[in-house]
Amino acid sequence: MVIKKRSAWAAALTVAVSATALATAAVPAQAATDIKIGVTPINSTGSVQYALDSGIFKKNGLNVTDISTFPAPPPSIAALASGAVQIVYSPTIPVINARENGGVDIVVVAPADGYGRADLAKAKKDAAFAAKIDDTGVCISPSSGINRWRDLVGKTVSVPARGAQAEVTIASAVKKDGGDPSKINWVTLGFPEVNSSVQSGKINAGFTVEPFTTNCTAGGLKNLGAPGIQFFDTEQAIGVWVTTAQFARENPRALRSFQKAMYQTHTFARASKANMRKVLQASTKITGVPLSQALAANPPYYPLYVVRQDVARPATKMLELGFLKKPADVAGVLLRQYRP
Amino acid sequence: MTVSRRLLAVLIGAWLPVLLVYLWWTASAESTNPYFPPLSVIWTRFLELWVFDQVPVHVVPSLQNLAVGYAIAVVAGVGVGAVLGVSRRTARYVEPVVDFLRSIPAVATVPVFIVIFGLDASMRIAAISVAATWPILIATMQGVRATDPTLLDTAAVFRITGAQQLWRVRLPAAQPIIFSGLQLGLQIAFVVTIASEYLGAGFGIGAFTLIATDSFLILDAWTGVILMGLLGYAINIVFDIVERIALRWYIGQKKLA
Repeated sequence: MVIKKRSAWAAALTVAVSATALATAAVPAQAATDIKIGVTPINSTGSVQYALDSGIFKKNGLNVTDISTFPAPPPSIAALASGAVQIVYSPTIPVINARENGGVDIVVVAPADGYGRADLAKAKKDAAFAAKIDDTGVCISPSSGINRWRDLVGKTVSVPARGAQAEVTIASAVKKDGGDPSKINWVTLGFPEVNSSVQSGKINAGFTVEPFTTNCTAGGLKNLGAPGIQFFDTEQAIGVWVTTAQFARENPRALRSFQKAMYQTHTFARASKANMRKVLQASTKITGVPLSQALAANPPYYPLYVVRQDVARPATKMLELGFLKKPADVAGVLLRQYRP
Repeated sequence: MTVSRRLLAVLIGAWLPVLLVYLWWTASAESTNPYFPPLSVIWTRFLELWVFDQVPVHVVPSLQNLAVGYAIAVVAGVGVGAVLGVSRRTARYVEPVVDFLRSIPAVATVPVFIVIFGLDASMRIAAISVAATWPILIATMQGVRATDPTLLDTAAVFRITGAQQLWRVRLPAAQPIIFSGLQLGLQIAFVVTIASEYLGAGFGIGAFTLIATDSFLILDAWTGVILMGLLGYAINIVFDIVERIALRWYIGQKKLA
């Protein structure tokens, strides 16, 4: 008797729970999911600011409540792991570092920036063109005696974070040019400090990203070249939007919405110069530089999706350069991409 | 103090750290969070790195900068502090500047030192010595000022005046207060040593920890953090020993009183 009573209660409870579950499961279809995004303050991440301001996120059922800036990917990926933000910008190299060195389980959601394939091929042969399409640069003084990548050996070179994209790509360029990258004296400096430090001779060279690359040459200094172009071959997505594997498992719908929103934003930016201008206008909210400076910089390239090679190739090269101890496991790093 | 009583004192002081380490060790034992690896794993890595493989590369340069920077701060702080303690008129002119400069958080001044000195050791030593000078200077000034008038009167009777009075009466009498300033200065010097390596350094304990964090070598970063704590603690113990020897007369006096 007692048992029966219990099972009756249990049945009632099960019905109640399932009803609630059904109700809550039905809600996300209509209500927007709250998301916080973390970015590095560079021109290309203006895309999320534009998607927010223009209502593209809202239209896709995402409620982006905050876009916070981080000086470099490691702290933003730490914020991601703690749940303070749900999606962050990161170049593929720190993503590989975080997964391989740190065991941080993060996955690539969508493309953020990169190179067009034809542009990349042309840029490899044409340094002047490379400087036009790549947002990375190495700022040097014209009187430094540095004329090619291998001249950096024995010099003090600044990067925003050690062991990350800047160091990996410059090391790769120096090695390709016949130099030994392990003899470079790497130091950590933020982008805004680079130009004045090169000018005063405190460092011999400094890695920059737009708008600071243009700032360097505008101030009478020289850009040695685009280390990104030297490093990447056929990769299209260099910067990506990432989230934790756990968030990806629990919120597939929200991430699909994010992919759609970024696809639409990237398509919009690529459509015309006027559109790109609007996205760059939005980027100034993140970078804090005047619009004229954002427009003077090389415009970002916005890929439409990420392919496995975009992550696998840099990982192979990082292994060759000694930044990874063992081959990277890139299976499962990439969420299924949105292709309409 | 007898040996057994001293041992008891150490045990009483050690129970909380031991408990905390035990709690950390057991609570983290099963951790799969990459940002919070088990303490046992951190400890294994700590021994690999710091006993004593990486010590010449990272610990020695940091301690060298600390030693030189702190030595400069002691000489400047005690020297200028003594002068200001004796001459109230000079102090009136200088004190506002001193108060202004010492209010600036030491860590925030590192970028300024980079502009002046560049990125090598001289920048770090300058930042350390400037930051550590203020507490030493202020303590010395106050200590010298607060000399017991009876002592000064007695000195006057023996015609001990001027520099001799400062050197033989005021400064020795001010030692207990000066030492409290020296201790505070040493702690600040240690903090600035680490902080100065967060910008533009390729080696040193601070740089090591930063590079490890940047490269997601989270285990290595934890060993850096623990190393900083242990070094800071060890430096404090050494200071305590030096202080106890230097102030033996004072401690004895207090016991008598």
